[in-house]
Amino acid sequence: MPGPGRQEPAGIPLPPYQDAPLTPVSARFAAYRFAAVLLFWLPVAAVTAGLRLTGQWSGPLHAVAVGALLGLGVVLALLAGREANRRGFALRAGDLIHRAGLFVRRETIIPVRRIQHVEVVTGPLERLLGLARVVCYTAGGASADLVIAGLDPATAARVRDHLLTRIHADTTNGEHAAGAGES
Amino acid sequence: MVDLCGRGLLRFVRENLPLLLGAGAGAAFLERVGPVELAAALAVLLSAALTLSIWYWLRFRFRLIDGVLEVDKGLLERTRIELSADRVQHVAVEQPASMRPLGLVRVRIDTAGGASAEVELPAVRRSVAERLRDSLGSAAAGESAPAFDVRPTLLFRAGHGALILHGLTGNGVYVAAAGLLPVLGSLERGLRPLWDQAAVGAWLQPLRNAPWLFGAGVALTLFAALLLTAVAITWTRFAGYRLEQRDGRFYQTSGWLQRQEQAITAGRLQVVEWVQTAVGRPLGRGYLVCRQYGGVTNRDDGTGRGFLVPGVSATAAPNLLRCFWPDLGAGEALHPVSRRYRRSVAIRALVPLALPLVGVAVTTGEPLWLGATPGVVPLALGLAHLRWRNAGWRLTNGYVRVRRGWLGQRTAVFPLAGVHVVSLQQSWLQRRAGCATLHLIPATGGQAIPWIPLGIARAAANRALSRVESGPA
Repeated sequence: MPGPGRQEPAGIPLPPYQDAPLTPVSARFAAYRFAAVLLFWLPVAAVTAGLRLTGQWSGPLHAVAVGALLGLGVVLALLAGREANRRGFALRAGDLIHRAGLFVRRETIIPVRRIQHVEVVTGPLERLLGLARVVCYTAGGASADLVIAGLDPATAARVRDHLLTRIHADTTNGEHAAGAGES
Repeated sequence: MVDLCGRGLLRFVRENLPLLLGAGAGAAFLERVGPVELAAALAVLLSAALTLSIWYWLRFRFRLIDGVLEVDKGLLERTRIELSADRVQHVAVEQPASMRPLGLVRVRIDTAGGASAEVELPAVRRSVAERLRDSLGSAAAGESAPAFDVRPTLLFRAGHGALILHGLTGNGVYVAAAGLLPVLGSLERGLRPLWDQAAVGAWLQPLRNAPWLFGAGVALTLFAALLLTAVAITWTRFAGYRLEQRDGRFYQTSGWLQRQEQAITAGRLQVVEWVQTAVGRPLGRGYLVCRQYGGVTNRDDGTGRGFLVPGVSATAAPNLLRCFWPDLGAGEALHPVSRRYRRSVAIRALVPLALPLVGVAVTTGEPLWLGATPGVVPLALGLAHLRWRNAGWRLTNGYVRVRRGWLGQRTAVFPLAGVHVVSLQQSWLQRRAGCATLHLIPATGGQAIPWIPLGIARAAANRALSRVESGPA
């Protein structure tokens, strides 16, 4: 880290991150995202439809509202599935790249030496579809953590183990360099 | 002892409120509570507080051995804390007014465990506190302890005029407004009977005949009260502000009632923001917000894990920045962002501006409010133009400058090597225009450079990555 009297190192040029080939996530992730979005909107439409049974709301406007909610849920679920097919990740020597998004596309790159901790997490729907996600924690807070979702459990475990090995190697190299500097 | 007594009493009351409320209720049922009984009760309470404080002091022990701070404390429930220096994030020294005549200070040690993992040493000698701060703080930063015989270099001192200007131009005005608002209602209720009374109505007759004059007078008086309160808050918080440098570390001291001293290691400094409010910009005044990794949370000035350098002039700010980072270089002009950013901001501003008008029209049933909604378009365009004009960025010599703002301006400066996450975001509109928003995220929170050409954004991202990955850990 730069400080008083210390010169900023120029940095060794790396291959551009945008040229790194990305590995797509599992094909089942699209189905997971479709189901997850639908599982949110179906109860909303059901509750709205139930208002007719309780007598609080009925008539043509009510039918339109229920239809609109159902339609919106299906459209959003289809878009979520399409977005899932666009996701990809890449593990380079010094960093982890992740791409996501459909209308708003996001490319996130985390240097391995900035990752503090790695976890593999699975939810109930993910377990049903044989999926898992890797969560990388950094010091930048929740907004700077990276989640790579839609991996099969074996791939997720390999990514986690690889990152933990790199983090440990980086920490050990750093301690050796500090010790050499002090001697 | 006095401080322990007072704070111990307050803590006892807070932790045993139900017991005290019950005791109070019991006392209310006594047939006769005279001055003698009251004095006796007070004497008993004071004696109990004094006894407990002496007992607490006798059982509070600490020592620093081989980089481990050991603290034994507690009366009935004994607590032993062993704190390794490498778990220490930050050490702050405070001196309340009550401790000043005795030459004692309070040491707060922040660890990696968050707010609940704070260790406090109440009322220790200043020399002990400074050695503790320097030993624990340097071990935490992986540095050697600073030499004590090196004279500090004064970098910045906030004079009386600078503090007054800071109070008038800083955000303290809004804090004062928030504090005065609840008082206004009570003030109005108290003054209304006076206004209605005939006895005082005579000399107020001219004002009764010109209510606009009265209203203007009240508004001016309230505004003056607001400014005075803001200056008073600033004075209490920053009186005697000094920023010094000794042996590669920065020490800031400030405060009138409670004197706070903080040591800042340059290596932990993540981002420094130069902030100018809408009032401060034409006066050439602002303040620096220095965010460091692992600092003590400063709850009262809203800077979070950082510290604030008040009353800085626009000409002094670049020199102060170079004190923190000597290789920062001269402040070249910032690059503008794409003009299309204005359209993006205007579109996003339309909805929150139009929504209240639509809401009022729906709730009141008055269609006139709906007719006013086209009026928000020039307002949105004007705000968007301000936002675009204030947006700017530059990458020079391994440092990033990012500026943003509406009427005020906030310029963040940080080293590229301090970036933790790099992110590029493209909306559909940005893809059509060949632009992207670059997010560079140090440990203290992200900085966004909106609407720059995609090729330039990717080149900047790659530069950041090469700095981080090839630099020291």
